[in-house]
Amino acid sequence: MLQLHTGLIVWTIIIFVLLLFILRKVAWKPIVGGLEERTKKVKDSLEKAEAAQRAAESARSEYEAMMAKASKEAQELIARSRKDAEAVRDKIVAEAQTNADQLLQRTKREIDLASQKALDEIKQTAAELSINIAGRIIGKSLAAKDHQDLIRQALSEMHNLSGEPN
Amino acid sequence: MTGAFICSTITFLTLFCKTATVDLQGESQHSTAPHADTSHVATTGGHGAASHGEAGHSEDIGAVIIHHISDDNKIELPFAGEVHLPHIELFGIDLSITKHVVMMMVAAVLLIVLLGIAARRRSPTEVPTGFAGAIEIVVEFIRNQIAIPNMGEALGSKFTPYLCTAFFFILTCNLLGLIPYGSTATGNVSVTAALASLTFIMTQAMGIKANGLGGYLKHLTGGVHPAMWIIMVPVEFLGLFTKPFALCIRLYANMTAGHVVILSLISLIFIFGKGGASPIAGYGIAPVSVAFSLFVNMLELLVAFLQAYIFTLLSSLFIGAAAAHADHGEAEHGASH
Repeated sequence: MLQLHTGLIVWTIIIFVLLLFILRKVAWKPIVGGLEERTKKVKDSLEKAEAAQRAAESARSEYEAMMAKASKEAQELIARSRKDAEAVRDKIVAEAQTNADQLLQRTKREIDLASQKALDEIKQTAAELSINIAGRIIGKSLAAKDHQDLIRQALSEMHNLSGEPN
Repeated sequence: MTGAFICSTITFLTLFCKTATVDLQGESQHSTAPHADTSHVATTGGHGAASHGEAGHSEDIGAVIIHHISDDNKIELPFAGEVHLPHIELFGIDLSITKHVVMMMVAAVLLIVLLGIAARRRSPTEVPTGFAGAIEIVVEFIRNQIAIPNMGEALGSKFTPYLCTAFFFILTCNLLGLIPYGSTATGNVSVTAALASLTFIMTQAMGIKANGLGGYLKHLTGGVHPAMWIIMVPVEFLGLFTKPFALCIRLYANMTAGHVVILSLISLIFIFGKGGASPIAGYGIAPVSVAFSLFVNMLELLVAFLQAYIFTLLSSLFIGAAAAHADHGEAEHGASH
């Protein structure tokens, strides 16, 4: 049972060593080579995917920062515009108010002036008329009839005077 | 599972016929038909318990079992019957092609064909499926779980072909012993001794290569005081051989044991049948024998894979350890012994 047969040992070694060389060429090299290549490919793919992910993330954060910045700017712009618009509106309203006030005052003043002038002229004309009438009364011998005519004349003149505005 | 069952059944039937046939050879030259049963044996052979006694019969069965697991100069083939193998003698060495040599050749050819097919693929990065995928998983396992963890990246990659070949060759030889007309070459101590010696040679070669001849020889002193060398050197020298010796005996014993158990279980039928004298006892024990043989056959299927794995794992450990001796100091080595 336990005796060794040299022939069998020799055959075993021959068969095994031959098998080792043949299988190394036929099987192990292609299989292990394929495994290694696949490992490399998977590793490369993973690395590529990671790089792509990193790039995507950085692009995303960049984009988000840009978005935030743009949004902030837009808000600032809106706020500023609103402020500006309000300022302009206030200014316009104030100016309009001032203008209106000024115009009102000037008009009032002119009215006052005109009415004053008219009154003055009336007074002057009345005075002149009075002087004229007085002169005429004094210069002529006054008959009763004459006196009445004079007054009538004077009155009609006054009437004419009031009829045509200066 | 179904395949294993069918395989076991066929193996059982084959063994049954063979045992019946061999049982008769001592008494008569009558060749038994495949469906021989105990009563047939009794009537044709005239072999009775009364004439020989139980002890003599048991010896016969022992011889049958030994004969069945031993190497032979002839091989049994389906339909063709026994074929005598050529006797070759070269330089005074008997280089006859025996039954086990034939089994190893069959294993080698099978492996070259099957693994050659499995290794062929359209592109190297393609993931194989089916048989090729299964082979690839085993190769990957041997490379990444056995070779590289035990031997390091560089040495592990270098020894992957050796370890893969050892695994598949031993596995195929083990499995060939389980199929009908097959014989277990790995159940022969000469074969396992040859395989273990290959691992032994590689272990020593790697030890010398990694540590240099000086380092290798220094390692044999065990790192002790020179006065102790006279004890230490023989111990360390013997230590070199114990590991591959265990490798050889482990595989041989494991592969032989299962067959002996199966043959013994089947022989129970004939022992109980007393060579035909008590056919009822023989038939009665048959179902028990068959059930147990089937169980042991399943176990053998597991053992076939397990022993191939263990041989591969231990080979990688031994070679890796021999090459890695440079890494740890002699003091540590001495302490660990």
